[in-house]
Amino acid sequence: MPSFVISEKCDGCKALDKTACQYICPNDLMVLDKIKNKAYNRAVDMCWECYSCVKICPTQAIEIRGYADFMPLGAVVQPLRSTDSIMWSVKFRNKKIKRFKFPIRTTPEGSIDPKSGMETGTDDLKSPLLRTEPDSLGTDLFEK
Amino acid sequence: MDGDRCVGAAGFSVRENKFYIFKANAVLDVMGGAVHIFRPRSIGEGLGRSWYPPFNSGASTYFTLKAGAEMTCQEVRFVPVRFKDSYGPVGAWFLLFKAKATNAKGEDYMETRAAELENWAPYGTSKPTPTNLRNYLMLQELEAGNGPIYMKTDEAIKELMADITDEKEAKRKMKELESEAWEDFLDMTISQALNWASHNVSPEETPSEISACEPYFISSHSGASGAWVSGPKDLSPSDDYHWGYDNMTTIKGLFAAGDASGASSHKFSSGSFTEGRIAAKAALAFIVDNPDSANIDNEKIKELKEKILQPLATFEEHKDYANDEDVNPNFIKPKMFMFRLQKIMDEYAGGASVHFKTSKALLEKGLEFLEFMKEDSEKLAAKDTNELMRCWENIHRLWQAESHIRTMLFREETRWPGYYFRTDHPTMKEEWKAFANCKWDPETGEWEMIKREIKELT
Repeated sequence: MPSFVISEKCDGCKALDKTACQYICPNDLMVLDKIKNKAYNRAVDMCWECYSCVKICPTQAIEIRGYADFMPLGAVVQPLRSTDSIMWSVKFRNKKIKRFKFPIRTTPEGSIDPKSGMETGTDDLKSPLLRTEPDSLGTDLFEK
Repeated sequence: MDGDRCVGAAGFSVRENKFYIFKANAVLDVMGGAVHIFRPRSIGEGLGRSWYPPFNSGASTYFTLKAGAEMTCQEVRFVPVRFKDSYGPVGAWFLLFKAKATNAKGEDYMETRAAELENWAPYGTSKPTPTNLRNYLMLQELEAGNGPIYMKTDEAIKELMADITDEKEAKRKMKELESEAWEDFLDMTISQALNWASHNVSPEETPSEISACEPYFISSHSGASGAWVSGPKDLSPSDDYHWGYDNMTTIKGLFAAGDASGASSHKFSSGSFTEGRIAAKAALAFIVDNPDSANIDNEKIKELKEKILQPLATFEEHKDYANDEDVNPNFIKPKMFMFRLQKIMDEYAGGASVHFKTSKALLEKGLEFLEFMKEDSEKLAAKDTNELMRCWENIHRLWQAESHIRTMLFREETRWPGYYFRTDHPTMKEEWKAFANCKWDPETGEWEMIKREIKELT
């Protein structure tokens, strides 16, 4: 399902050294047309519909049009991200609309303690125990 | 390489005109599995809608194989059954919603074809039924003309709602189920949600078609292909299962984890993540034991740089010969190279269009065609760094493909029907209850096939 850029909404991220969509695309698909100053997807048949560009676009200029070789036209699935949740609008071909809101994190950013208050089991590099093990295994099954 | 030790990696930027040499005392290979080796079911825009990300092109396998590391289970591909075309996950429907898959007549083929599973005992008679055997029964249904195959989402929801009599409670429950069903797709395979919306499908009203995807190469998630790595010291029964450092390949200083390390099918996301932690810790121990900096020969770097950037030079040299930048007898562009590989693999190595069936004669023919591809890979051309990346992705795919064909040829039996079926050896044989490994020698360019004993750890 290829992403496409709505011309009118795209400003080529002129304030940034490269566009947000170029930065985020895991397959190096988004490019900036330097003459028009607009971004576009250079290989729609290599697009995985990961929606990274859609989610990151600061002007909401990117949408997804379902792969035309098997999807009828007319449906739109569009996300809107906030800091702790994502709102999805699903518009059907027959105009029916559904909305879903899901949490994307349950803790504030930067608040997670990697050790979760658990002890480092050993400093021995040759030991098979990983950091916080055996504490974090929650079982004494592996202790000899 | 510094003698028999892996001492780094080379690469290039797709953003700037830069070539990179990474010097390392230990290297951890975690570059994922491989997609687009077999022809996908959709070849228009939908080409990119692979089950596994299309940007994983076999770099893990290429890296270990070319270093001369022993590889394992290269014959094992993974064929997931998913919602048709968009490849949306089926796990939540089978496990959470308890939905059934049936043929077009509404028959549950896991029940009607249960007798077939006995032919594949002990795997076929164990619970839960292995992924490939569930695939196999479904493929038999399709071959019998009983398609399409449906996931009965509507019946599952009906069943879950059956005991609720209170109208308000029913409304709440339906909303909850609907939200869970859509979240399953919106969280990880958004195009499946778009596919439902574009076909006006509401899962509580209409069942959806499921089908087998094309084959992929992964070591996690019911695949198995990857490098033959050292097992953990405390559990390994003998020296051929453990050689000094956990997760080290047979090449000194080269470690692998996740989809890069083979024969550990039951790791999924969290398993691959944990394996990465184990491998990284072992790599650190290796560095402490081998603190001397590795030698890197400047001549070798020059040679690598020239080889890696060759497709750009090839394009520059010949581009003015023809008016079409893609059609030129002096070179081949990466996209057509990929399509040629996919066609060979699909038709000769048991792809989706031949219902995953192959034989010695077909595999040998396929291998013959891959030899031409190896020669033509010297003529890959790239007009920019993006295409240069595509050139190398496809060289990686080619090597994954060759090791796959060679190992399928080596294993003269059928052990994973539903993943692939050797029509000339249609049964499972006791003598092949073993690992089929392979190794490519960087000095001689020769392949070696190795049968390794399976030793039970528990």
